[in-house]
Amino acid sequence: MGAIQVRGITHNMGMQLDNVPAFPKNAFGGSFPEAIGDSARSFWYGSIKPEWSTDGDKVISKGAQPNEVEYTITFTTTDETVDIVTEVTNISDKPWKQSQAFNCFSPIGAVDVRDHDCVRHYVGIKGELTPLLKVPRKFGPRPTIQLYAVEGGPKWQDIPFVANFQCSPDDVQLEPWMAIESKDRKRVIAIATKPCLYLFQNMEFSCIHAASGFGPLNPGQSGKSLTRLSFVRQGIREWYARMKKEMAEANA
Amino acid sequence: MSVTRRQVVTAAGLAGLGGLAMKVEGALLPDDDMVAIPAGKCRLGTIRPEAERLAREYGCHVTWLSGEYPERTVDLPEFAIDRYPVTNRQYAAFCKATGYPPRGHWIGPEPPEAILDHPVLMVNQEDCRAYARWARKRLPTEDEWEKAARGTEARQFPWGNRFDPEACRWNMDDPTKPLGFPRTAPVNAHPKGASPYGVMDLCGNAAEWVEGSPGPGSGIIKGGCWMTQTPMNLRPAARNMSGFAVNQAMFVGFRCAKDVK
Repeated sequence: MGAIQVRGITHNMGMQLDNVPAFPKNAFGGSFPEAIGDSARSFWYGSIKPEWSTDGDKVISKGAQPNEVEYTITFTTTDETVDIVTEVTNISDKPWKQSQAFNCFSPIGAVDVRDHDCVRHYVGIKGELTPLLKVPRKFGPRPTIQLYAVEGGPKWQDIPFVANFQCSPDDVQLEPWMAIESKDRKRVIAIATKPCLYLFQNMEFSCIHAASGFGPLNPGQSGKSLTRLSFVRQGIREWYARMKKEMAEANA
Repeated sequence: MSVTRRQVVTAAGLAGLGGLAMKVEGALLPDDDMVAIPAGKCRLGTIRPEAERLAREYGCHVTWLSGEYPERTVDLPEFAIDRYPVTNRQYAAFCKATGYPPRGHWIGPEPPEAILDHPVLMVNQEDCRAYARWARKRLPTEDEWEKAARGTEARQFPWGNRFDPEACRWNMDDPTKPLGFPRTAPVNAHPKGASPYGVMDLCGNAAEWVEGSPGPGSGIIKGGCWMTQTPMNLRPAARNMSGFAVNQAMFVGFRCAKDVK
């Protein structure tokens, strides 16, 4: 079937994925970004109308909010991954104490894997594969959503974008990825980001998110992150072992 | 408009549930087939030790049930609630009468014949209120809905404290089923799911909007749906699936309620 295809939605921050070999007849979509810029006052989905283009085997989305934020997102695919490089620039005249590119990876059109009950959602805690249901949850004003701090990152209370939702459990820090195992337990979808600022999941859409964090950005400064979407024919434990190995190799 | 006692079906008159389904299939009168829920106290939510037991049973951290505890006792006046969720047939009559837009899953101006008596889906909280106003009813509050489902003894499920997989439409998001396989069921398809008052189809099939909000922009959804994979989220006390009030989801419908004077 070849590589996964990325299809940007014209003048829209959303995209769809076609031809996903591990999940034939399933539809995946997402928002890249769903919100971007200063984490204290990000520009949300719909407020920026990006231009989508191709360059060889890459798909590129370029968007800007005049005098505020500018970004370029580059998608590169294989038959089981979509690598997403996000570059964001502060073009405002104000320093951003903390910057982000919040994204969304949605399998709501993927009957083989969607999981509104989170019974097949997984996260990592200090090297241990952990069912999301085992992780503390905080009931908030929108009960379907939950945001999590990541290991090595700031506390959720120190991320204005996250604190605003009032639904992050205290004293929980997760590895910078989330995954959902398919109903047949033989396949996995996942999102991982480096550097990652926080994780988000929404039971309403069965979507998983790993937001990019670029740290403080002064006017004119840029940040860069890598997000990987995975669609593999492996069970969750096998995929997790493989992912840890790949991350170790990348870090080396 | 309020209804008199004679216009609603009382819990005592529920022996022959099969006959009542006729009303769903027949002429549509918005006042049809409501059940009177007597005034009085009931226990809602979940006590912490029970939440801890349920967390062990369902393999989750107890905080996944934190929206339910502490348990609370409320004293509600008598009210009436629809025996069944609002069906596609009923909602189509509303659309025809008022010019309200058809639902997204109908793929046309009217629902397909095969799902006429299935619960309407793809409605947001305001779509439900619009129907209720037309029917001279209102949405039930969360407390009313939960009392109608659990009775005064805080049952885990409408039919009792043990989950019965045959008592509701659930876990139907099955990729092995052929395209076009009906994920929902007719609202009267699960007679074993009756609540202590004879209210039907409260768990599974369509989750249901109720009146009220857990926070700005959010609405409360009760009962789980055809997609729900775990009995934990089918319990009437569960609150985790309550979401954005403006969203029209393929698993959320509603039923109406009414004051009784």
